[in-house]
Amino acid sequence: MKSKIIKAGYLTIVATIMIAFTRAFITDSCPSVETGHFNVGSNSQNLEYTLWDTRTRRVVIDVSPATARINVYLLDEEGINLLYDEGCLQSVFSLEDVDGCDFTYQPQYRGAYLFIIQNSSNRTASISKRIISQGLEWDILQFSAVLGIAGVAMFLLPRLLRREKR
Amino acid sequence: MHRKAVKTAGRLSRLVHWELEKTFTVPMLAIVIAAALYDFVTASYGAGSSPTAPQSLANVLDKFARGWAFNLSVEAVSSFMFSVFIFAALTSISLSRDISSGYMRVLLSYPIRRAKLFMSRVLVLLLVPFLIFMCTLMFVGALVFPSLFLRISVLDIGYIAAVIFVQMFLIFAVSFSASLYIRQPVMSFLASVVTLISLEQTSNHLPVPYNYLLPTEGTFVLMDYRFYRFQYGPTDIFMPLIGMLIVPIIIMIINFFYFTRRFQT
Repeated sequence: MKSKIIKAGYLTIVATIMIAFTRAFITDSCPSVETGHFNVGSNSQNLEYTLWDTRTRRVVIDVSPATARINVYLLDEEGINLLYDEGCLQSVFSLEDVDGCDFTYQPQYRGAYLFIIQNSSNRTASISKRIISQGLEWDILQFSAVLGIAGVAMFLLPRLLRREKR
Repeated sequence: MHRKAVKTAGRLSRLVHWELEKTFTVPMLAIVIAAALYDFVTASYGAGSSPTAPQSLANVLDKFARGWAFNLSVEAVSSFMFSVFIFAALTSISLSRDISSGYMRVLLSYPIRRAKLFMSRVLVLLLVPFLIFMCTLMFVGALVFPSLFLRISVLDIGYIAAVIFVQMFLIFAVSFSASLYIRQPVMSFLASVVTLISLEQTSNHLPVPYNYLLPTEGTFVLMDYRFYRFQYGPTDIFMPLIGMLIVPIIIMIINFFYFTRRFQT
């Protein structure tokens, strides 16, 4: 039984190392960029649902013509529910009456987010949006750390107990 | 008493247990798990949807879940190369080494049915890596986007599993044959790897639809047929089914008759 626990601990450590290193050094090693171009008519809005992991997002929005003014809202899953069920706009980040923006947002969890870009001016606005994902997924690394500690405990404790008995 | 012991030893479950203990030692298990994790942990998914009116969260997540299932299916296609090395190593360690070291001669001298011995090898060497790969894929699917993973339909998961199994079955059939006929561990490993990689590379240069006969194009056709239907229709999936399922079944039937009737150590 003890040898089986030690073997399971060894396999858990191997799995932990693979998860942490593969995710950190392959998937998250370089920033990824998503771009989009679209027009928003006067006094109307554009909705975009996105799916984010927990990497930091830098959002850059350029608007032309420069005289156009937009409102930018970012809603999390709770906000999406509120908007659909009650028509209430509750954002986790917002900017109003701007001609562009450049902000950084750290998603609190993995899941769906909604971008609302409202054109508050009376002419069509051409929007250019870039979302740059950078940094590490700390939730996966934390999970790996917990798994790793469990693996090391399974690997070492039966050996220590065996020594004490002797 | 002796007869009872012999009867127990000849049971399929007992043979499977032997084979499991002999082949899947801790270092081998660690290598298979590490390979599967390395292949699947890189799976990620950046989805976007621009409807004209607000949608319910459930509706949005359902749509993204379908895309997440497709992404996982693409990761499964890319597992071909890892599967080649793993199955080639496992069959050469299990079968060729046993034949070359004389262990198979000892086994066959016991009152064990050859058919049961053959079946135990096939079950263990094919199903254990398949289950490890599937469990790893499910684990990664749940780890990266847990809320989407819960919304993927069981049929989609079953389909991905079936296609991975079909791809692995072809790899297994070729590796098993090489190990059975070449009988030298290193040579059978090399023969399996070279043959399978050559088949995959050659199939890329074949004209449509013959290139669907083999992985990885054939695997992609099968996955695409279920999840996206970009360009493949019902008639296209016959080619991968012939090349990756019917041909390996024929190969394994030939191997079965060879092992049970002609095989001598």
